[in-house]
Amino acid sequence: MKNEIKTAFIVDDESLARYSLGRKLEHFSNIQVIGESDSVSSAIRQIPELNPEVLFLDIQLTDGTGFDILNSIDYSGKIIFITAYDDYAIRAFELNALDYLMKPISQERLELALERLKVKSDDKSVFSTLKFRNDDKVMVTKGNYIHFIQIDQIVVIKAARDYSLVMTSDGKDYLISKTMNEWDSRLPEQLFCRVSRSMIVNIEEINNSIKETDGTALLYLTGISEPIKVSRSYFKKIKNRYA
Amino acid sequence: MTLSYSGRLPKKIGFWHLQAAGWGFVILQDLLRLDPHERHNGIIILFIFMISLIGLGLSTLLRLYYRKFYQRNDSILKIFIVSALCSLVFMFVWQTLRDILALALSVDLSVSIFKLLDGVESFTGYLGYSTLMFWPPFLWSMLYFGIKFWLDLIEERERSDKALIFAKDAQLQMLRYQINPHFLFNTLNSIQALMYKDVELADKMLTHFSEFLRYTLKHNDQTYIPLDQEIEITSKYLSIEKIRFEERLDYQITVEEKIKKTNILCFLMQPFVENALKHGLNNRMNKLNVRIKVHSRGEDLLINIDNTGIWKATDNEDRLGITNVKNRLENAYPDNHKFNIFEQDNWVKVRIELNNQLA
Repeated sequence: MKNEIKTAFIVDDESLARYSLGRKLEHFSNIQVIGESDSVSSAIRQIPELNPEVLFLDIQLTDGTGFDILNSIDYSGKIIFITAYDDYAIRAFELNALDYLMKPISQERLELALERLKVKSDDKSVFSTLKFRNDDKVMVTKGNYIHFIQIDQIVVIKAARDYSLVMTSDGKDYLISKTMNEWDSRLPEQLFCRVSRSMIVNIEEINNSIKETDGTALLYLTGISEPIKVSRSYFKKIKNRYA
Repeated sequence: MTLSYSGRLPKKIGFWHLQAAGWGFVILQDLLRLDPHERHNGIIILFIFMISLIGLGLSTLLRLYYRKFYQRNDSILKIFIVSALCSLVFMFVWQTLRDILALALSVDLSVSIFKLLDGVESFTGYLGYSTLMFWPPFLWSMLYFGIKFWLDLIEERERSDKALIFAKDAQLQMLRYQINPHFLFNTLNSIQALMYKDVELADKMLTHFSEFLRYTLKHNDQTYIPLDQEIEITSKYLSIEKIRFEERLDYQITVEEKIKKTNILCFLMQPFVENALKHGLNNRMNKLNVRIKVHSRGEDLLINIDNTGIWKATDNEDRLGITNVKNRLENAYPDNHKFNIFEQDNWVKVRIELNNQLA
């Protein structure tokens, strides 16, 4: 296992930065850099072709961001993000428990990041507990592929055993390895409300609610054809909080 | 930095409220002191009202005079003497007007309100009454200045608080512009790479970078510096970015020889150059060209900063940057500058005009 060589790919818009990282990676016998790219557009072309096992991804690129690349390709390998200074990106890394390097990159920190790659990716011990904000992006995997969804784009979250099914306003859904309680404790309260043990909805996406004679109610949400049934006590809770 | 707070400070105590309350009180206590048989005498009551109205009118004239005379750092003694002298004048005028009025209304000056000092014989008569009449205007004056001092003190405190906040804000904002953290860490990263690749170039980049930092730390947003220094630092900045972006960035700087020593407000060009780089390198197919030209036209100094990038007025951070430059220009060159940004033939053009700088 130890001597297994991993293929790596570097995305950075500055040639000096690519040179520097490439040079540092030469110290690791188990990493082989198989390609590099200087923009979002060329990375989108090259990464699926080469399918590297490790991706060193700079966030601030001249024609977009590193996240744009991940949103438009299906990549299933490991990622180590790189940034010079970017509060927004760093927040995204920490929210999603992703590893990242700060420029100028230190050899020791790089070593640690590569060491961490060996640890299983769904290790919950490093799971962040930061509370989400409306414009935060949470990284989700669909099959093996990585996507980012913005918190306020989530319409509804349904429980699915140890997982949860997240539906977004663009009609897509994602199966995520987070429990309902985890979601409940991290989502912003102003926007999300638990409407039953197995369901969280985005308040802004409620178009209409119909109260039944027995006190329960039906909620109609944007883009979701079937209404959601809410018990009397939960419906009361919603009304009290948002009416 | 010009600060304007006119109309900002709420006048908690209105002059006219106090006037009305004060003279109203005088009328009331005069009425209360009337003997029972005088209380139904309409003429006497009218007379009482009239002398207080005269007092009100005279004290309003006093205020007009005090307003002209009063200065923030006047000594207490001066105010005291002026108040006393004014009160004397007030007293004689008031008394004369009162006597004329009494004559006109044929009010007997022996009505009970004038027999204040019944028990003190020596104070009766004209002189005694005059001594008594001196105190209302004098007390009025003391109250006037006391309140004025107090309001000034409040205003002063508010003003200095606000000025402090304003200055701190401006300073923080300037620091943010001058040392863009992205620029800072990317430059350090490039130097780290160059150390292995091209030691000479790493050396040059490090020197330019420290000079840029030193300039930034040394000057603040109100510093005026010779034009050639501002140009020097802008070119240092561009040369650092040129090492980073290589052939993707090109720049030319031209400055008219005879205006090189003219003093201008510092950091005027930096925000625009930085903006150009931020947006101009967005499309890697396009090379970014930055052209800076400073020249004279008569007595005016003209700064042109052109680039082949994109002008994004919607970007929040950029708008803040532009607003900051606008404010600084407004403060430094209140009525003698022009500032304009526009797009023309695929160039973003910034025009700053500083009028009458070369006289």
